[in-house]
Amino acid sequence: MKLLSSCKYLCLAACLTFICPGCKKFLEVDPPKTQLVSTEVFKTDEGANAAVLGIYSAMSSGSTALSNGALTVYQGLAADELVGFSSDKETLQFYNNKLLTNNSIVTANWNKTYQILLQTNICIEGMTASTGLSAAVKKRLIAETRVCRALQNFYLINLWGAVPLVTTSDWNQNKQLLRTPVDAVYALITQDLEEAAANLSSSYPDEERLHPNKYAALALLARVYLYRGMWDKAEAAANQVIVSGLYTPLPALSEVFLKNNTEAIWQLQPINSQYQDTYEGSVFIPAYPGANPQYYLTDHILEAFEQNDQRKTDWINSTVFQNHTYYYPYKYKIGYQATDQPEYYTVLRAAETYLIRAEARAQQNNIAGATEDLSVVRERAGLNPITLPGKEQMLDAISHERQVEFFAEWGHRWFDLIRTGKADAVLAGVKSNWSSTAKLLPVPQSNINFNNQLTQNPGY
Amino acid sequence: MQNYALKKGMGWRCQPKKIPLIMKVVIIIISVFLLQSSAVFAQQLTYQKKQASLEEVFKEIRKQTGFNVFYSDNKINDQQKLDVDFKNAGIKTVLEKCLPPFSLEYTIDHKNIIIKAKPAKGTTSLADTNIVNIHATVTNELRIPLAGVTVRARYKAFSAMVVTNDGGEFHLDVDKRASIIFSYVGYVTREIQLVPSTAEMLKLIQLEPDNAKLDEVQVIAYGVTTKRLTTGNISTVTADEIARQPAANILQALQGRVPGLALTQLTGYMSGNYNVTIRGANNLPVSKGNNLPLGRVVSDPLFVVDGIPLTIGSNDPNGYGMDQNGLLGPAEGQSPLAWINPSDIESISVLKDADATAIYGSRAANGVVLITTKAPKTGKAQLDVSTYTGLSLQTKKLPLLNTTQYLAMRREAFKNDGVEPDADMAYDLLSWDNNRYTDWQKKLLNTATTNDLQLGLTGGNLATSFRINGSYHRETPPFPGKFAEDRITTALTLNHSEFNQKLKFSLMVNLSGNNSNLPQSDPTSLIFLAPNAPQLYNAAGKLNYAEYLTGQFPAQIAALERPYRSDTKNLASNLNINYTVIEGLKISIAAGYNLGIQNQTQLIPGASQDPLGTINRQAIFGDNNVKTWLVEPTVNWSYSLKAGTIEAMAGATFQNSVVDGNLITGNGYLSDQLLESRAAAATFNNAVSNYAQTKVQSVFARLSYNLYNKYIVTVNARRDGSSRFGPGNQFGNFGSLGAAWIFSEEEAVKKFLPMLSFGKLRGSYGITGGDALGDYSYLSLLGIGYNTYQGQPVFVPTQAANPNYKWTVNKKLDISVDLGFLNDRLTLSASFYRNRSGNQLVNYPLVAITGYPSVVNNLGASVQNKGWEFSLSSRNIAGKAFSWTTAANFSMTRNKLLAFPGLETSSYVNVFTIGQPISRTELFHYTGMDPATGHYMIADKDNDGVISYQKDQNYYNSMPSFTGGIDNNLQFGNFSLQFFFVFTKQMGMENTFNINPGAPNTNQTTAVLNRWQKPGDQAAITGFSNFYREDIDYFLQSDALWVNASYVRLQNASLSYRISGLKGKTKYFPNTTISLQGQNLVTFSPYKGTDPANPTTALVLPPRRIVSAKVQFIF
Repeated sequence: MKLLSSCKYLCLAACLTFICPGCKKFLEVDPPKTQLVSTEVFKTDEGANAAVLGIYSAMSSGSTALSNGALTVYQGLAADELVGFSSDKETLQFYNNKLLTNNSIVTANWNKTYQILLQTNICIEGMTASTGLSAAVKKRLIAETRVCRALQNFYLINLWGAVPLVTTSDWNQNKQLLRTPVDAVYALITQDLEEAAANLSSSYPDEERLHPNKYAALALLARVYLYRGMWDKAEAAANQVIVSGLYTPLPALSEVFLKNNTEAIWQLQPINSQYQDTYEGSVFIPAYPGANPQYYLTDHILEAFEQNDQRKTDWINSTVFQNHTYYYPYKYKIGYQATDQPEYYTVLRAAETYLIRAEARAQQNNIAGATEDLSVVRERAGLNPITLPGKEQMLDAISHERQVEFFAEWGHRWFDLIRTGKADAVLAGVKSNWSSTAKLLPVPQSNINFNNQLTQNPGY
Repeated sequence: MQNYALKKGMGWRCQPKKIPLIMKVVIIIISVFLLQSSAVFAQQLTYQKKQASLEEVFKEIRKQTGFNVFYSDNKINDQQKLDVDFKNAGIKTVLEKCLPPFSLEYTIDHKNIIIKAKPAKGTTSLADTNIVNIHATVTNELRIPLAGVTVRARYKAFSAMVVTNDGGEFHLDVDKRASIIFSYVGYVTREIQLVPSTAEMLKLIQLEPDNAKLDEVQVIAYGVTTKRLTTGNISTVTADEIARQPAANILQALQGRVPGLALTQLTGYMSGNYNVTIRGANNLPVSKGNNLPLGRVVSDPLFVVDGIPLTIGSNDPNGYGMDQNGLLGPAEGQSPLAWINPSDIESISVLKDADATAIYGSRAANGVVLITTKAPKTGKAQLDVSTYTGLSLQTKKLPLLNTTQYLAMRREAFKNDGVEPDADMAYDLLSWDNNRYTDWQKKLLNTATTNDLQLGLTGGNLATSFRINGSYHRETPPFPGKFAEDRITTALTLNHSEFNQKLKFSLMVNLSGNNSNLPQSDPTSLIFLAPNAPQLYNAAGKLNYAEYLTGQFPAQIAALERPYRSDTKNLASNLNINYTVIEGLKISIAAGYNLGIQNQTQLIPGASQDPLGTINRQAIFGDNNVKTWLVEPTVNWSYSLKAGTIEAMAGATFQNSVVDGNLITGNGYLSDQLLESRAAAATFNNAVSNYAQTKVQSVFARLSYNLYNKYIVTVNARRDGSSRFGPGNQFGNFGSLGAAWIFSEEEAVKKFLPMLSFGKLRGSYGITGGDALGDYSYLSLLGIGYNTYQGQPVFVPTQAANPNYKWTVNKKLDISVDLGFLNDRLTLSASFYRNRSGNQLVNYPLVAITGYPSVVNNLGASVQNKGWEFSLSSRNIAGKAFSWTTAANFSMTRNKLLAFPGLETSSYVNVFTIGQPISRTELFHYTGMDPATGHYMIADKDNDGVISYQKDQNYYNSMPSFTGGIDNNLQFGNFSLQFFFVFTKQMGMENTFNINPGAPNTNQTTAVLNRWQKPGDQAAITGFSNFYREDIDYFLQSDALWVNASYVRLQNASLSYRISGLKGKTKYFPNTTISLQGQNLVTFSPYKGTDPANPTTALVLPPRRIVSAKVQFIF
């Protein structure tokens, strides 16, 4: 009897066993404990802020990014500023202006820039859709993100020409994108910066200058207008920054790259694993006294400095290696020794804004105004003001001033040579294999491999 | 979709915890057992019936007490009835009341009641004179008693059955004219006719091991079968074959033994990983990032150890084994099977076709490997001690330049370059001793050691038996320094049965600890140091930074002082309970738990850093955990229908796996001594955390019908649910149909083909699936970034979401024929298979402009693997004194991309071509040397004047044309010799060339001596130069280096001598076996690189040659 009843239980158990898969609850899993679903992130001010900080962090940390030293080093090599000490073949490709389409540095810079753009698009979409954010934070963070997006897009088109323009985080939509004309990319850059300038306040959210404020948007906008030859707008934007009074007077040369110095309009906190501060500092300053420099300055740039230019003594240092003196950039003065971070990457600084306004004024034949702006920068370097008779001489002087003010800094020299049309003339003189097509970097082959429709730049 | 996930997450937190349904089921099943036990364990009988027959009483005794009742039908008068009325009466009481009226008496032996006729006093009936009492011992061929042997006596309708006790003894009263049949798993069933046998012959009965492969037990999914009756394609490797190899990893022991199983040992490290594919790669490669070519092809089979599937899923497509945090060490990750002691393994079944694998449903697309640990042996406790010590040797030495040749090469480079040697570029010429010569291969890859110790005890009786085994295995890599890897394992198996084997418990617990202490990166490539390079260490025993320029000190030398340590603990436990409800109906429940914990440290002591630079002592800490539990209730039912048997099995799976990984770097230590302390770090950074939970819930069933042992049909079905998929896509159905026709059973075949002792035609078709790709891929996720910013944690995108992906579907077809000749002395199997893997679930590589490296996605692509497999086994000579057996296998697989709608617009547009293999390498075509410059010339395929990776490369099939193995076993008295060759025909990349010959501090093979020297020369190698050129890059990725990498390898050989144990009063000597064993002994190959078996990778420590001496004692 008992056996029979046992059998019943068994059958019941068996039945239950097989019914069970009908209920799908078992398959519910804990959400991943180390990550958050994206909609969850943008529900709170803290989450949105952390996502925007993620953009800055990406710009300054990890593998090579344009904004954490790559522009300085690689465009410095490509222009007439730097020589690499080692015979690393990929670095040499920059120096020789003979980049291969699989150059891993080019690829990494391109990839990282688009990763940052993805972050900006996720943030803009997430914050725009969110209803949980406080209005002020939402407005500020969206505007900051737009400045970041504009900066990435600005460097993309200036390095590669027409590039695919991403405006969404949807991979399915982005994966087939083709090149967007430079004008269309500039349109978005201008729109981003104008809206950001309108929505950002003139103060920084904290005591540091790590979040772009209204003037960061304007300073970048001024640069965009300058590059586009829209002199009046460039002057107007630069003017707003200068008259704000926040960034003047220019501090001493030795302070320009310290964190939170008065000239800094927007800085990035260096994020590195190895007790180094900025990448520039760690890569230019020899590892120990007597060590070889990894990169050193060309005679070409050394000769460009005028007599008594204090930038040559304050921003350049030298080392003797095997009886040969090498000069290296010394704008960032901290190599590996830092126990804290006295220096920050300086994205935008007021000297540039002065020189933008000077150039815009000169282009509009306001030579006196240009001279005034030029003098601000020259005076800080211990040089006398110069008076020049005409527009062309003035433009040449500004161009020269930019060369010595911004040497080995964010690729300014490279971009200036190209935008002013002097690249072929200047670089053909110093580089043995210069070809005009080297002004644009190759689109990384890996990208073309994914999409046959994506065209390569000429010459590659 | 995202909303759903959100709700789900909330729901999980807000709901009160309920007892999961699965727990309820378990509770119910266990209660049923307990209920039963309380009713019957008392060995008492409650039975009331008028006019009951004696048989009915016996039946009731069996039911209620679990005792067996043996009796002879013809001795019981079934006409005679009696009234019974027992209430909780003891067995003896019942028997003593019931038997006398029938003139019967009884004896109780263990749980057997034997009923016999009461001898009539003073009279001798004819019948009684025929009864003899047999008392004998059953042993194996080594005269070790066998417990649990079934002994049946058969005479006309009379049948009695007993089983041998712990000492192998049994008592049986039988009719003289009967024959006695002895049967025991793994031994040939023996039948002895009593009549001609003498008493002496009946004292000791020896059983011979069953070497007939056809009836050998093969482990299959949720059961066992035999090669004779299976409808699926299964290859089994046994403990014997494993024991002959001094292999640390069971995968190494499988190499070449299973047709269709391709195994590549990736490194020579003990814990190192293997690439495993069964019947070709089914999946398009996993993306490694944005750089094509893509990463590895993930076609790993499902590994199941004692019924518990191993969780080796990883979030990181480059992660291997249990590693979840990306800290892989020099061995590039740890093999997920590194924790298993090969000596604990009884058999490994490789399930290949749909019939064998479909019951594993969604995880079976790439085949299944079932690993079964050794079961206890009943009988007298047997102590097994064995140990081996071996040398691990370099298999192949590259012919590198000596100092004179090297320096001449360097001088010629400067001459060619037109550059004056200076201290910067020519430090090897100017600063280093030009007379110094170091054979770096000898220095770095010299002899190392391997040691193994096994200690096992097994024994028990029919009711309770056990096996315990402890082992220690240690291998050292050959590099200078105190590096070693070791493994300690303990294994326990406990079996217990109740109610005359009706209720069985089995518990397996395996605990294993693996320690690796290795340099942080593989130092093997240091063999290319200049032969006059400074010693690695200076006189003070410190790293020799001083003789190198800043930044030129090779990182791999520094790595020798930067240890990578991993300490892995693995607990695998499995409880099985099964209960035979009635004859033919069995229910069982398996519950398994697997816990893996790995702690890693990677240290960068100050002593390993350039003393002139800034010292930052650093330590990286990694932790990985893998936890899996599994509950599988199953019901088995077998039933005789007409002349056939129906076997049905159904069950359910509930599985929960959690994997997590953490990584953090500590900086700013004050002392090298403190590096292993997390507390001593000044700051931490680079933190990584990974977590994933996966649940699987399935129901499955198998139904097979065997008619006349001639026609067999099997149907498998599984409905699988997996949490790896997004809502709505979690469930999938899989199944197979298999059939076999044993035509040798047909009368016509028997008559006309008497040579053919066995012939079977079998085929199967079915659908299996694959879900082996990351977790939570349906969610758009942001994770914590690698670094803080302004002191705050930041969010960064970690995963592109795709809510729509579904299972990979793999359709498998298999047709095989199995033949046995001359009483199965020669058996032959041939299989044809065709697997089509469609709806490919891949980590779809995304173009970099999306910002994501990849997204989990399905492709319309269909990959076909098609091939033939043959295996043969032959007992060439089967004498008592000398025997010789041969086993051979041969397989060939062809794979191709069958279809790929939308290939033109997909990320794979430049990678795959429809109709071409997916296992392939892209290479330039080398057209020769420009005699004027000595530069390499590459074919400009599209004639656009530019060499481009995109347009000018051709594809070369990297899949072997065929592979196979031949194993020979010779037995000569107490000597046995076994040797096993494997062979492969394939092409591969020669990886012996370094960048530009002539580069500073970079040695080359002597092949570079055939170089271009002056305009007009035609040579194989370009002129020496300090400088790198594009054409060298192209050359190194060209078909100039695409060479024949075929090989024949003496994979394994063993010679052993057995000394039979002596047991005397004065001396005692255990059964002893002494062996010499070798692994990876000799390789014949035209290939010039280090290891033809892995002719693609960059230079890593190649698999080592192991030569060992082993001694085994069985007490």
